[in-house]
Amino acid sequence: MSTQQPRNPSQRSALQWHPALTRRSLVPASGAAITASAAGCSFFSTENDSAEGGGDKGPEAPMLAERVEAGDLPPVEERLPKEPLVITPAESSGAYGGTWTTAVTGAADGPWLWRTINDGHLLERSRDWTEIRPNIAVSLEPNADATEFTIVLREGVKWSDGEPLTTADVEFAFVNVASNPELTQGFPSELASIDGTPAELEIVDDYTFIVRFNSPKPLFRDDMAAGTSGQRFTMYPRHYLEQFHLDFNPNADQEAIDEGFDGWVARFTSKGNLWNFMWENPDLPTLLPWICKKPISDADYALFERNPYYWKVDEEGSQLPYLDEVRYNIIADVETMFAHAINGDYDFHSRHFNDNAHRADAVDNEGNGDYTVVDLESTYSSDMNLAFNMNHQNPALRAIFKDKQFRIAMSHAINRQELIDVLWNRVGEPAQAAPRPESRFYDEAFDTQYLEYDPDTANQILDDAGYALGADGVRTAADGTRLEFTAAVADDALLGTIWINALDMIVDTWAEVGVQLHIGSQPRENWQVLVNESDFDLTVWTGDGGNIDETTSVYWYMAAGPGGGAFFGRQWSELYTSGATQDPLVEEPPAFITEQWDLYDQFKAEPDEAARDEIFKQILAIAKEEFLAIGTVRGQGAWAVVANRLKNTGGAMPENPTYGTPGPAAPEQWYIDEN
Amino acid sequence: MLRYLGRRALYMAATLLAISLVVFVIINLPPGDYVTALQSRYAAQGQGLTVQDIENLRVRYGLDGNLLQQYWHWFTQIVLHGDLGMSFEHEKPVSQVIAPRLGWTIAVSLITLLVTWALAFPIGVYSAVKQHSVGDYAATTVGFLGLATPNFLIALVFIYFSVTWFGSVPSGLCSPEWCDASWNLGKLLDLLGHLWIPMIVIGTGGVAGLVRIIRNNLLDELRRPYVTAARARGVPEGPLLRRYPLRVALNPFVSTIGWILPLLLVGDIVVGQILSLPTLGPILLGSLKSQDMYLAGSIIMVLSVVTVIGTLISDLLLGWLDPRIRLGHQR
Repeated sequence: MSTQQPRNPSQRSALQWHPALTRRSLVPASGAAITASAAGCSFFSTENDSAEGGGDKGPEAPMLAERVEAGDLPPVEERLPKEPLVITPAESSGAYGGTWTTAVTGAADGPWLWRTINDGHLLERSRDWTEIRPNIAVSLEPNADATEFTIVLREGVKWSDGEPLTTADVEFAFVNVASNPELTQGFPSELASIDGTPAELEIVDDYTFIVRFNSPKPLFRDDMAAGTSGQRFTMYPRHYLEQFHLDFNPNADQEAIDEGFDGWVARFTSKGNLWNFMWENPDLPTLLPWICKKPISDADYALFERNPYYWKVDEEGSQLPYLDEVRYNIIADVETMFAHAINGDYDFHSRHFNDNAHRADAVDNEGNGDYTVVDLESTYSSDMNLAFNMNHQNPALRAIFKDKQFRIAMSHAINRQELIDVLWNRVGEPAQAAPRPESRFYDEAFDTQYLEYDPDTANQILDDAGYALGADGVRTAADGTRLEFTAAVADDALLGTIWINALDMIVDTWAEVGVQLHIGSQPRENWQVLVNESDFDLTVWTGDGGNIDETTSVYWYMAAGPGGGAFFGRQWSELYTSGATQDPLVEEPPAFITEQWDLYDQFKAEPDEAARDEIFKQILAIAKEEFLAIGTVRGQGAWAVVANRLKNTGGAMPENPTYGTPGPAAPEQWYIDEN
Repeated sequence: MLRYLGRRALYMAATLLAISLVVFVIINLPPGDYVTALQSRYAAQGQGLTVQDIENLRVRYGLDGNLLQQYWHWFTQIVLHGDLGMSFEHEKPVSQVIAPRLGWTIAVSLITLLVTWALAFPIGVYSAVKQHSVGDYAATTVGFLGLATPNFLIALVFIYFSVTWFGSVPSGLCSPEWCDASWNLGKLLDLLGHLWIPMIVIGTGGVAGLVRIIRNNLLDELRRPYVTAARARGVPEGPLLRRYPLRVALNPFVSTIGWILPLLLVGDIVVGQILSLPTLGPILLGSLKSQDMYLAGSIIMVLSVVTVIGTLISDLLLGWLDPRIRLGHQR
């Protein structure tokens, strides 16, 4: 049936254009019949010889079965671990074959790969995020006071080149990578005790190791189920990476320089140091469901092909993943990407263009493109939270921003219903920077305080607080400082456009209460500089921490958290996280801030989950009382385009960077059904 | 001639030196550096970097010294070792990032240049010879539209109509099913099927400009007394046009290499972004945004070298073609 056309390699090399390695040798033609044109003159053929994989279900994919038959691969039972992880499909067990096509904007867009084809954490979260269950580790047991964790790896798991994963890899990852300050900037907090002391690692046998902290660290379990943190031990194939590491290869530095790198650190990083570079190096053995065939930095597209040693199976014992390939077309322009999406060119995509502005067009074209727009559940407290910079360099402005009455007035001077009607397609509700109703930390009073649009109240509050109205309609503080501020906005963030438009409307309603607002719109990188240097009056950002990540993305509730911490108190956050600030501290943190820090320290050390939640509720109670940040509109979440032929995605899911949409929906068990 | 060449080479080196300095300074003008970009990316991912991490990263990427030191390091590495430095973003030597894309960039630009000539020459001649005819007006209108419309807009319009009419998005240079295929006629046809859009989009401005230049030059020549004299002596219109006015009007064709090449390369940067071409355009924009300075600087330098060489070639050709220019230099 299927006839492979002989190919004349000299003709191909004569053209010298072909940038990609051909997958011909790896993917033998099967399925669709390819009619051979005259043999020997294949250049003049107009037949396509890039074959699609695919076929019926057995214990392994047909493309791998052929390689086993050819003697290139050991049989599937030898490739799988002793007890493979059994995945329950979302809807039905699938069929092998097919390509999941999606897109990235370029090499800087690694997060989308990280969200889609990432795997290999010690533990993993269930799709609904409530349960933590075994993944690469079959068990992770704490001792009584949660200072010591015994971890057992799944026996027989193999890297994608067939080498076994053992505690030797764990040791390498911990001792030679995580603890090497050149490779890892700052010791990873998930591997350190609460006071920052690095944990102790003890290797028990080939599959068992113990991690010891100097004080209780109950959240270690959660960390080991989270994105990068949970992969710290299992992302470094020792047998491959040793050759690039100075500890093992004394010539590593010189070799790297000879290859054009500026040293061994650069070469090691480029070969496989944490998440970006898993997508860049086809030689790097991984534990991912699909492995790199064509890196993301290549010109047209990046291609990932099934990992023959993947360690998960479906309920019938068939090795996952179902899909042969994942293909990331490199589309630098978001509108072009959207045109592809509504044309039905992507099987699953939920990034870049999935905002309110594009939703209607996407829904309109569902029939045309044979896809469905699936709503994702927002996890933001509000789509645009405002923070006044209480660490401002200017003491007069700082004093205004620290005034709770001022912030309350500003909140009352926002017409949230109008924002919803005009900018949020009439879908959304007014909300403060507080946990969402579906969160276990929901507090209705916190969520709804100071929400109503009431310029009279706002004026009254400002009058009472001593901000006198000037002749030009702008108020001044008692010391004569005008209430005139600039909002720093990253206009190229996903919601950047809507933020600018919303602020445009807030300019008017704030003007009614005597506050003059300007909008400083700029690219994200520039905005980041202003924020880092605490050189802004107020800024807006998404209300992370509304659900799922309340206790980690805490920066709307207290001066702490990832990514530099709270916008309202950048320097205080820095002080808490690093113990010191780079620039001189403009002002000592007030008592309630340090109280929150004490509580958060307790939170991190409390082994009992219920008691832990109680502590966090106290932190939130302080946030509510102090009204640290202003929320606006809790809108519809983002959305995804899901091709109708793609099965097992399981419908709606949260959209959240901690969740890593769509990772927990287990893409390895997605499959394509053309009927 | 050798002295002429030597002088030109000297000018070229000086130009490139000036370009390199300006480029480097401009790239570093926006606040922040690559580490800032890295940090915002980590933040979007939910990972934080502490102040100490950031300091270490600056040292690691050599961003802790002053700008002049960085420039000097970059420049001497290029001149002495041909080493363009490391791309922070890709964690690879810059040459490895640029190399696969440079070929496509030059190919797309050169093909567009040829097509531009092939279109502009007959149209320009036609509208000069048949001045004020319907064809002339049509060419003029289309030409002005092409000149006035920004490239990226034409690209977006193409995408819109392509989606609504043909049900496909014309991005990239190959269809998904052909990208992996080995080269044969089918793939070549597929390539041509994609190449015409960037060619038209990038080429319109150039075609329109050239048409205007040819038309005006030729009109000037056609009104010269020597044309009238030749015509009075019974020289047939065809040979008359070909032998004299056309030869003079040809000059802009050659001199355009100098200015049309940068135009095409710049066009490619914008259009490559929108049409996702595997050219230097998209990565240049990305590297500028993330302040991946050695990559951005090197791309601009490479494009500058191409342009400067293009200008040299066009000057040499012009000298060869037009004795007035050649002799002018000898005076």
